[in-house]
Amino acid sequence: MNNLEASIDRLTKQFFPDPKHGIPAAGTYLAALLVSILIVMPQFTGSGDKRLVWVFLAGLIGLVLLRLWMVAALFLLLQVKLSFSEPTRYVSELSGGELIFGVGVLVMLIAGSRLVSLTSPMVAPDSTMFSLIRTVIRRLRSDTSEEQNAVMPTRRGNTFSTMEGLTGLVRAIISVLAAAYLLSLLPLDPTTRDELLLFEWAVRPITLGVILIIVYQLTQAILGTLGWRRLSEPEARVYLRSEFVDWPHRDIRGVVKRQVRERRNRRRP
Amino acid sequence: MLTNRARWLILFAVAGTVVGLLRRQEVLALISLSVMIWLFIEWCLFRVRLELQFRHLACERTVNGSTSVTGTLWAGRPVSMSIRIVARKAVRIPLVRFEDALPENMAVTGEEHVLEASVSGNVPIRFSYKAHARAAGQVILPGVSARICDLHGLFIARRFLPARQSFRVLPTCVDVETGYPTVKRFNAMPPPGIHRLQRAGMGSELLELREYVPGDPPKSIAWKVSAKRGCLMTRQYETDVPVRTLLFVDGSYGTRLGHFGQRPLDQLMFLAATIAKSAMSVRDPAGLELFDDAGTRSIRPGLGERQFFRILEELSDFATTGNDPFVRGVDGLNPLFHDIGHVRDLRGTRPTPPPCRLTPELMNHAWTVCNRLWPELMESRVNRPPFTWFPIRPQRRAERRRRSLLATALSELYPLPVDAAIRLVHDDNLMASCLQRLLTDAGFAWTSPLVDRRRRELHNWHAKFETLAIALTRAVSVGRDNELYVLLLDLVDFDGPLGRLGPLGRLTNAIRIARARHHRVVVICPLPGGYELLRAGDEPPELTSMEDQIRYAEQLRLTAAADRLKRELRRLGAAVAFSADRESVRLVLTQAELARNGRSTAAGRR
Repeated sequence: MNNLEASIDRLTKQFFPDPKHGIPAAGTYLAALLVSILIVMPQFTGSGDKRLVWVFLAGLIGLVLLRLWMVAALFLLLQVKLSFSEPTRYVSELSGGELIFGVGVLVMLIAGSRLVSLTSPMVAPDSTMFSLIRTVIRRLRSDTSEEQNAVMPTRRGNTFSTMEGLTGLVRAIISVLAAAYLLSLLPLDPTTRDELLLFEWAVRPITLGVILIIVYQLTQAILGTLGWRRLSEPEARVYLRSEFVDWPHRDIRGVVKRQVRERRNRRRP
Repeated sequence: MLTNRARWLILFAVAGTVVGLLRRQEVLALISLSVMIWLFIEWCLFRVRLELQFRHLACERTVNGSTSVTGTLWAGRPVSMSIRIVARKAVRIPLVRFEDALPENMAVTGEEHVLEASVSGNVPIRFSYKAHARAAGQVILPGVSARICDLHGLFIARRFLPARQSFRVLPTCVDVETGYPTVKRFNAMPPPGIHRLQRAGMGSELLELREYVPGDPPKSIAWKVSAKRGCLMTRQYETDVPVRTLLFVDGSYGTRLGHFGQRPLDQLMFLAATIAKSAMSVRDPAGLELFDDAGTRSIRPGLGERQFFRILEELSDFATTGNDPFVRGVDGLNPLFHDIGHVRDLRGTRPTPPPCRLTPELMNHAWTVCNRLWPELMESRVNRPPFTWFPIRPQRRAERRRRSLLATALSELYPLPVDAAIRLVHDDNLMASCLQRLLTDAGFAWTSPLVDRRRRELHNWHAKFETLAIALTRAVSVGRDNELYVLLLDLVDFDGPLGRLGPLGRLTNAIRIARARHHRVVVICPLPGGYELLRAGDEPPELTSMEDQIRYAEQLRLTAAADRLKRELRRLGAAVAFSADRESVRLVLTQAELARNGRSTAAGRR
């Protein structure tokens, strides 16, 4: 893998020779974002609802200017638009254009999230919605004091690895193909309702949910086992303590609270 | 492990997939499901890198060109540190932030001690920086803290690479230039370390001529003078003496409060090292008497480089160890607090701070330290707080969760019983005590942001003065004539009676005894970090903020206390200084000079 990465990077540098800095990562991801938007936009303009296009564009520009994490908002806008404009159909086959559109959307989200990670580390990854709003207000007031609190590592100065971009694209394609395959597995046959004794509207979500849960649980079991086998002794002891405390904590809590109350009363004159 | 970014994406993706499937909008379902699968792939890769690959990383630290696990540093002198992260097997971690976990006693100068990098293959990663130790004592460098995340900011985890190194930090000392007499009074040049005392003895310089007394040695008869006067006269010689300097260093709990480098103890260490160096540079023997509320440790006066380093090492060890504070009224408050030991992988730096309120600052500080040094114990995979319905408000709930995680980690780090975790969650006093102990053990001298040394009853004056008086009396009893006793003593907070009946009475009696035996006594008292005494002609400054006013009030209090103590101690014949700077060292050297030549006041100086 490392040899492959080195070869691809060497090949890239033949076309983009810049021995000092290579290709800046932020620029590359911005370009990828713009290209993916070009793929996604015809879907909007073709639907006839011009207001949604403007909402999408205004939201995108606003979020980019604020340099906040925009991917979830973009994704939500896209979903809202599709839920309003996409017609209902009874065939689960997806066309090539729709698959390319899906890949475009995913590349847009990947590039957007990477771009934000590179350029805006100001919002902590585990920040709450309140801190996000506070950060927006600070940013609107041109107060950059929040930037000192960055906890997310960044690679601002690093060069872009071609392998990194390629793997992102490959993951996007694999995800879309896997999603299409899963959707094609879901039954649309009207007789399924009688066979599974379920309401028609519940058949597909429940089937997909069961498949996803099985896959997730299997993966979690494998990775979890690998992780648990490598637990250190203190980690294992902390886990056991947590589990032991879980059972009697209500009783002990009552005793402790009473003791604290008594102590407080004793100290009062 | 999941960040809020990922949580939002998962929420929208699940909602979109369900809506798409229910309304039979295949493209919406396709896109939402694709996002879910992409997140799943990223999660799998992150877990594999975290669980399987990261464990192959190891860390090596080079301090001043040495990778030894123990060593010696000097306070205030630059130290070059170099970190090397080595992968034992080929790994691929796209984004990781390494940070050398430094205790409070180490300060970074210049470059950052942080590196953000991607680890690929077996290629080692290096980063270097410069730091210096703030105060004498001990520095434990536990290892490197690592924060791993994926390239999109969806998952984050913390790990720790141990690289434990322990260093003894010797106190720094400087050369202090002293004035010298302008009047040439002696032609004789005694050997270094020997000083002429103008009292009768067995020296080589003539002191006086007196009439012969039976029993005088015949060789001391001055025959020419005897012939002139017609009676036998005897030559009386001066005494050749060394001037021994004995340093009494206060290490009681009150001197250990504050941030590293600003504690009274740090000032005392600097003074003791500098005075010892100055005395030994003119071949005067120097000794050490370390005392606190409980007892004393001593080094007999001696000469030479070995003695000097022995003094420095003893000072360094003394800065690390000490007795628990004397806290009135709260003894026995938390029986559990007395039972807990020290963190297993960190040597305890006793004493423990006294119990104080559980403040948000204390919680935040302990949370940061725990996450940096023991991130594995704070992970929700192993550390699972019990479920409760209350508190309901999200912010309070998050605080409770954080406290539960800290409590479980504390009960593992210290040998606490299993139910102690619940006790810690609901008992604020106990939690504050344990957190303070944790911070102290981790090398952080935690004190409240605005330390109020008064009213905290941290000083056990009776015990401290008793110990010092015994040590001083013992030194006088075994000492010879003409010694110099330097009392480096934290005294400025003493507000008790100054008479013989008060706690200071034993000490003043001991000083009187020393003075009666012709010894010189110097008392040097450090001031709390950053404060200076006001002078008589100083105009009151313009006080704009509340902090300035508090600071000025504290300055006034210290000045008044210093004046009161100066009057009392000078009345006893001791030289007094209330600062820990070069002027105090000069005062000691002046007194040493007086002790050498036997005069009562300093000669003219230029």
